[in-house]
Amino acid sequence: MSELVEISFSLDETLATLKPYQKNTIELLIEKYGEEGAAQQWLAASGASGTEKFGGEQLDSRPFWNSLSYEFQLFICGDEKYKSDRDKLMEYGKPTAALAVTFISGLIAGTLGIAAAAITPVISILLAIVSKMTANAWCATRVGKEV
Amino acid sequence: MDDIIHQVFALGRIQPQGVQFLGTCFTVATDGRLATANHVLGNNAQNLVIALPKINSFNDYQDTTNNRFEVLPVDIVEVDPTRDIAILKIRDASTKITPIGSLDEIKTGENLEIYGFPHCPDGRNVLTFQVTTLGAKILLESSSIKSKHAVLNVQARPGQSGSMVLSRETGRISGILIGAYAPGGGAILIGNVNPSAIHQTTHVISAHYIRDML
Repeated sequence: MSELVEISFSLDETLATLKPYQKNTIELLIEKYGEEGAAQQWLAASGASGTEKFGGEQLDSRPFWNSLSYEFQLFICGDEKYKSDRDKLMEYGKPTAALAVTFISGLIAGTLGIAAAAITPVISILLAIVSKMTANAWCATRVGKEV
Repeated sequence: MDDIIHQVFALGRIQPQGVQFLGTCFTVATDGRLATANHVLGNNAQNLVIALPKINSFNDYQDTTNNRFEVLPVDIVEVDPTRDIAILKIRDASTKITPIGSLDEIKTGENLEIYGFPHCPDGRNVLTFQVTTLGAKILLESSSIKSKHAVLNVQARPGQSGSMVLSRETGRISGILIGAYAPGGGAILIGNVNPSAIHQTTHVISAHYIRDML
């Protein structure tokens, strides 16, 4: 393990980095489901319920929450896999919330083969959750939580 | 009507055996941005392409035996999974567009036009025009968030998700086709078809949500 990422952003700061259409929806979801619940709802959403979709591929049913939060954990908690990426993010000191959200979303989206825009609200929430404690304390709560 | 030919595209993914079509998309901005139904992308951002049109007029015969077509790569730039809309972008391209409107502008009983690629997941690359009537305005829910939809009095088939729904009266895009009503509770598939979704109505989400994503 290398260095943990020590960041401190409020939820307002990280949500402010989202486009209004995502921010408005996420705020409604947080109000109803709480922060982690909202992130999970966003990832699991697939449009209106009670509708048969007419696309060629149905949404992948892989547990995206588990794989995404695990990759986020590896990044924040100092895993070697993301060492050079962490160094890049922290190269000029503490990054802005916008830079952190965009950078980590793009990185993890690339790993999972999904669109960064699909996970920016989730990364915004996760960064705010980590910021409520120290990275060290948050990482301690994640021990054993592997995909 | 023929100007639509260069605004509505079959969306697919490059696979080892060729392009697997997924659904339909259409232009929404002059810088090459397109809208589609998010579910057609299957949570997979890789190797997406649009197929360029093979005809110049809707009156041309579309040769279903000709499987050769040009493609352009596209990237996903915006996603709203609760409303089932995604915005894609063609790299380095400019596009013609039709202005974006809303279901709010359309009265129940008015005619709407649908432009899409029915059955394209089965390899049928045929741009198809349908005309229909707005049968009802409804609110549908996803994760407790309600959105404006409409019921169109027409049957749609796989491949039409993401189709442009146009009002000739307003000259604006009214919605995106997303699927059909299907009662919940676990469908039994027959030949990979959900019989409960085969009926003469189709669901469309209001196009004004696209504007918020541009």
